Amino acid sequence: MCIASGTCYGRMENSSKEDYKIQSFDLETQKLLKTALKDPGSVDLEKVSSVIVDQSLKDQIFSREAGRICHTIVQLTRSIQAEAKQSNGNVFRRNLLNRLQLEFKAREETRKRSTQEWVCLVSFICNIFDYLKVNNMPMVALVPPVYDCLFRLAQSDSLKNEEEVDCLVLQLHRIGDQLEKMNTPLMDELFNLLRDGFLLQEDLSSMGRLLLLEILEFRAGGWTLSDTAQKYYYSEVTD
Amino acid sequence: MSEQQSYSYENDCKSDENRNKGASRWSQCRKRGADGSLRKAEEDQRCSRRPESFTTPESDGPVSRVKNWGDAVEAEEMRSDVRRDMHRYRRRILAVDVPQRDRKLSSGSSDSRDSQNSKDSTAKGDIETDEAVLVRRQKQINYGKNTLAYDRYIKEVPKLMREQGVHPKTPNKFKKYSRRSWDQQIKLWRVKLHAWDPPAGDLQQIEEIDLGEIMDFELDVECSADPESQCPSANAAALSLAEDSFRGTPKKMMKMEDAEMS
Repeated sequence: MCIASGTCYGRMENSSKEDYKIQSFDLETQKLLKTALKDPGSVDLEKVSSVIVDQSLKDQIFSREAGRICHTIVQLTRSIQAEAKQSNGNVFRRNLLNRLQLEFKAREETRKRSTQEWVCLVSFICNIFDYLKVNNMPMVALVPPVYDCLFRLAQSDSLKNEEEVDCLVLQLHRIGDQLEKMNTPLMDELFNLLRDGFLLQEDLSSMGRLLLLEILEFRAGGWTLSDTAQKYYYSEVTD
Repeated sequence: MSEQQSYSYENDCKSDENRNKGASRWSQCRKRGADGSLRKAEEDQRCSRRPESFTTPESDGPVSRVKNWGDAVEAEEMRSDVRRDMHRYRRRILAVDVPQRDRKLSSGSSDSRDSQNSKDSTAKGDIETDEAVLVRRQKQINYGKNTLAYDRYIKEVPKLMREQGVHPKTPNKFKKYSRRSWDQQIKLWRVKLHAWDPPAGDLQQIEEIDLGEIMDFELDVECSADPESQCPSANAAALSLAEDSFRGTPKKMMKMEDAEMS
């Protein structure tokens, strides 16, 4: 048994450094984003943050990678002249985070409406947590919401859903170690839930069970997989 | 938040108890209940745990459910920037500390703008470390640096070319000053910077007024006509400053400092 060869954990390294995965946007929006990346002072940054959040909720691939383009725009907006600054502080980041907060508040309705949107939301929040740092430190303000999402995914009604388990383990692979450093007792508690789910929950799919076992081993190994475990889980992945 | 999370906010203790003696969150520190009877020690102990949403000026600040994320992250960034600046400053001070040690400290002088005096006092390790103070000061500095005038100034006069007393110098937030002294330094610094305002009539000047900007003191426009300060565009500057004094609407939103200003 093995995890599908298409699964790719960790940050996607692309041959083109500039690949922000914006192909899924319509052409006009792509133009807007490209302009924002070249000259952030010249565009409506509130609109830019808005389109990015909207798209992240629809597009699974983008939701997992949007952090990078956001990071770049934030860095660029720091360096623009005072005359182009729309106000004190970082307009783009502020709008992005506040919009994200609204979506987070509505997460339960989103989950009821569409599992896909829900997992996109979680991926996006976690990706932002991964890429948008404050002086190279993770944003403390995002730690409770991120944990909240992961705890939600660890509930029994989510665990029986392979799509949600997949999302959960993806996030833990990417940001688990950082999250643990920010709050170890919470991570311990989360993993208690995962252990319980793995052992006791009967309506888990076999893939779901496999994913949980792998993440349990992953964390136990210090957020890395031993060679033998790697072979066991990923033996059919082409090099 | 789901029930399983142990970090869910703690409820007020004994909410169903008789209100007169009840241990509400407001009676935590009171010796007597509303009926005058002394509260027992045990009640105090049970209620000594405060809900996590309880904040004090010394704590980290409101939890994320109270603030919006944008503000929370900006506040985080402020604090972390100020801490980083402090480490850098300390290292810089220690580096120049050694040659200063055998100089005699001038006694009784309270003029902290005397650079020699300041160097000695910081060499002793006497710097401002209170994060709340540093953050407040940094905000005031940011208001000044976020102006067209400041941008034009730094482009025009490189740091090496700056003359003491002539060219505005950003107040040093790490030096120990009283609140009044600091606010005054900021005020004078901002006034000096006005000399580099874009020429009057420039539409961009209007954009400079940030309605979100709150200044902690009143800007005294009269003292802007400082005869000692020279600048390249002295005549134009004096003219535009004089015009400012007569304009009906102040250029920036101002707010009088509260009781702190003694």
